[in-house]
Amino acid sequence: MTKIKLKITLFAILMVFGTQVQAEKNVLCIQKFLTKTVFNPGPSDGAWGKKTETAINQLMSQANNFESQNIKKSDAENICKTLSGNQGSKLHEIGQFKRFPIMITEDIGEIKSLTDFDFNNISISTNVTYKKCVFFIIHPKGFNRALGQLEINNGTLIFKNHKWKVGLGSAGKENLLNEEANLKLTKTGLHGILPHLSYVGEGEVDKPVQYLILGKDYIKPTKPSSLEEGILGSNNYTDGYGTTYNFKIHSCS
Amino acid sequence: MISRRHFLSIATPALALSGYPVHGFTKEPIEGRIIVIMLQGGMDGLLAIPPIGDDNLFKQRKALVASNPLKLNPLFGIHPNFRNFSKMLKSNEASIVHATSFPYTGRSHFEGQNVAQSGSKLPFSTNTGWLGRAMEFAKITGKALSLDAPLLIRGAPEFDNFYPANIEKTRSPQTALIDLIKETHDGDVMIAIDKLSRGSMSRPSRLRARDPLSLATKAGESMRELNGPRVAVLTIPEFDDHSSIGSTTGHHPELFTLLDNVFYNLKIALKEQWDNTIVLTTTEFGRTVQENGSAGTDHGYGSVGLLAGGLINKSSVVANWPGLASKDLYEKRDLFATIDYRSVCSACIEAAFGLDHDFIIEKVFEDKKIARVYEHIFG
Repeated sequence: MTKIKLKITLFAILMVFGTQVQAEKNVLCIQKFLTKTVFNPGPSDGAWGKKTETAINQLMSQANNFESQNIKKSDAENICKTLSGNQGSKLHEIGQFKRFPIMITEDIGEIKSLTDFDFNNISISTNVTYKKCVFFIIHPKGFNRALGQLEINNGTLIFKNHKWKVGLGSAGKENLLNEEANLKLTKTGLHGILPHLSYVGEGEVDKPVQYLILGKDYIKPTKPSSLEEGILGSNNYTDGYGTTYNFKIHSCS
Repeated sequence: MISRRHFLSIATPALALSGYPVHGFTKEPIEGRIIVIMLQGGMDGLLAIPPIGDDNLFKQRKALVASNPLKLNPLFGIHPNFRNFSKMLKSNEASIVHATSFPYTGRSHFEGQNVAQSGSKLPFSTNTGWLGRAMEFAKITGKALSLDAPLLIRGAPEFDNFYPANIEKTRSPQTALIDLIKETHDGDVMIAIDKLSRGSMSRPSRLRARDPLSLATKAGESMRELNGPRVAVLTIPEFDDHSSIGSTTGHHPELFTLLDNVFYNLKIALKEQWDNTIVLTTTEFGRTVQENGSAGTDHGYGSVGLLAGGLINKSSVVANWPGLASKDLYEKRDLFATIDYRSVCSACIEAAFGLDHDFIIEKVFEDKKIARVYEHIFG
């Protein structure tokens, strides 16, 4: 009886020890694999520690386009088989460089181009008519971002031929950046079309003619305004990148 | 208008039928597009994509960090002027490779640009460019050039187009460059060059400004055509800001805005072909980690690469971040480059042209040690 008990105990000890040895072997297999990647598992000692767990989860997450993983010590055997199998070389390749996921939480908002202008704050009325005016959109550095002719028909601006400048507009470069373009309207106001999408030759009028409806509270000036004053009551406009431009209409007749 | 899916459904069998075997293809040849934006002068990658989670960033360059970078993840941010690109990142249409460079540490523009275009380890060791060689191996004959047939695409078998299509009236006519092309090419290439020269000079009224925004749109519009060019090269110069480089605003940030709009214009102009496209930036080197006495930065080593296009599946920042502590810097002054940028170029060729990685690094770059990062960018 005692002999049988001893045998059972010995068998149980061997089983536990054997399982543990196998487990350590699997962990070691994972650790050795990871040491050949950029994911640091800590020392290759066969012990499943936090570093090993983090490293293998990071690798497998990266290999699965950042799907979160929950690999535990109990998964070591399967993972070792995976690493030693057909997928091993691909995982090794993936493990050579780290990928950091994009986790943008901030609202980037509506994208505006360099030539977008928000005309929401125009303070003008509808009861003004001129056959011909000249307009400018002026960069704070003093050069004209756009210029051309327009008609005001009962408060509606009808843009005629005009030219647009593109590019950085930094000092010394403008002569290289002349380009012709058109203006367009959206529900938020007047915008410069991305300059290269629509070309308007000098002296030509793009089709269709573009319109801008002036605000209700516009006060018609007693005479055409000077260049300095402009015809619009409030005429500073900010593009999508924070540059404030000046929109002037003058020489109306 | 033929949809992309319909195009693929009819184009693929046609390609298979034309069927001459091309050694090196890992899969069926695909109709991908590659657009390279060369950022000349050396872009400051730390200003563009600041590693805001690295405390040493603020110790090393207090004045040269934008006050309001957009947070991408705990380690990296992006300059606020990259608004379109940020949106592409958010919608899994863009990725970033950081702490990267072509294998060149000499800090000379002349040599660095040559290495970035030739893909060779040694400057001036070849007369052709990595992209041109890749096109030759992929049997791609149609392409768009930026305006001067840069070294980058020399080596391709046929020239289809110049942008803008007017050599005679370009701002600085590159007749010397055309002479160089004539010296280094013969046969069909020479015939194509002559044809182009004559054709472009016969259309002087079509002269347009040579700014990158216009070129981006014109290139995109051409490349979206069914049989349109599959390669375009654009150049944005003036990144060499030794003084007054800027932080939130300033010259480098203005260039970021311009680059951001180039990405945007390409996407808009390419329309459905955006799905088959990869756009990547190149620059000859990065800039010093610390600012100099003139509020600028000097020639450095590691920088950043920006990629966008529908061929990207999942956005990320790819980087083996080396750190910014003085001990971690290259020669105690530059961001260390831990990724050979030719790996990125190889991955783009693999994605757009379908060539096998091993074939690319052996035949195009002649360097079998270039690692594969295809899975990191396109996987």
